[in-house]
Amino acid sequence: MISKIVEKLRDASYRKAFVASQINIGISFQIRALMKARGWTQEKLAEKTGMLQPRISAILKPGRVRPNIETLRRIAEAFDCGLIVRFAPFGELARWSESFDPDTFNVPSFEQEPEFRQPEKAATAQSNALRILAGAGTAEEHLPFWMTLNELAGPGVSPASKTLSEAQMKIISIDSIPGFKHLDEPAPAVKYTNTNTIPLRRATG
Amino acid sequence: MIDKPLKPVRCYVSPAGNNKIADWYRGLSVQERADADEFIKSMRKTAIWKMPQYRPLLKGHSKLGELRWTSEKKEHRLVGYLEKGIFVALMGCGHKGKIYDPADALEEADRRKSRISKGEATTVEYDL
Repeated sequence: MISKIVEKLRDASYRKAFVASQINIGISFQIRALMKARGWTQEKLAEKTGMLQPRISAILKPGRVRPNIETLRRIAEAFDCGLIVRFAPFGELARWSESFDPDTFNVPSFEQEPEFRQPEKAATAQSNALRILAGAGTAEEHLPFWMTLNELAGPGVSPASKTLSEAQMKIISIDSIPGFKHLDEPAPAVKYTNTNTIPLRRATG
Repeated sequence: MIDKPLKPVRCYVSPAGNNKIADWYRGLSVQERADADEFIKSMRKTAIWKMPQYRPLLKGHSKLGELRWTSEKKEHRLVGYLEKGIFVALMGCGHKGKIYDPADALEEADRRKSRISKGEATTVEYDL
């Protein structure tokens, strides 16, 4: 199917229409999928968004209305999830459109996101840990945004130096490293800003 | 890429060999075509078709159903029937109020379905 869309996107007028169709048609399927995942009725979404139920009904009919950004923001707020509005290459948009599955699409609410579940984070850190072997360099760019270098380094490590020596190996939650979520995955390399590539190694004991 | 199989959709081909769904598609504006593409693609990934995107059992045409979407402020319909998990598209048309455009769209869809069952007409895979 992707070859078909590639062929169509070569036509500039189709490209323009394709972008509009993602809003005209695609959004209704996304909202419907999010409602289904949460078990929400139209009335429930209407209540959460402060809109009238007939308005929700219209939004759920593909192409019936073109929701503006403010409407989408209110819907995102109701689902307690983010809304990304950004410019993108056509290839990315086409891949998104092709891979979107109305039956399984879901976006977790803030409370459902693992990295925001604070109590569980601590438990995960104990049971699911790895050592960072770091010669030198800053680790800041690899930290989740809610974690400071102080928190990563812990007591006794000077954040000012922004270095972690092998003697100062620290155990942190594997879930706290973006892109490295599962123990079964091969250990990725982490790039530090002022050194080359430093490997992550799994804890051995 | 999505790895589950898409719901099969087939298009009515007249006894003269014309793919009538392709003819309908070519008659749409560019925006209508893009919206139809997006809608039909999403529906083919949806396991269970139901209202408001799909309406089964049209009055007086109990074996027919229709895919429904809006594009360019016009109601669009793809009338056909589901058989063994395959949607056979018989007729693409518009809809305003309770009137189809063309007005005899459902009667024509019935005739086309009858021609298929008699072996006078055939179908091809939807590949638009």
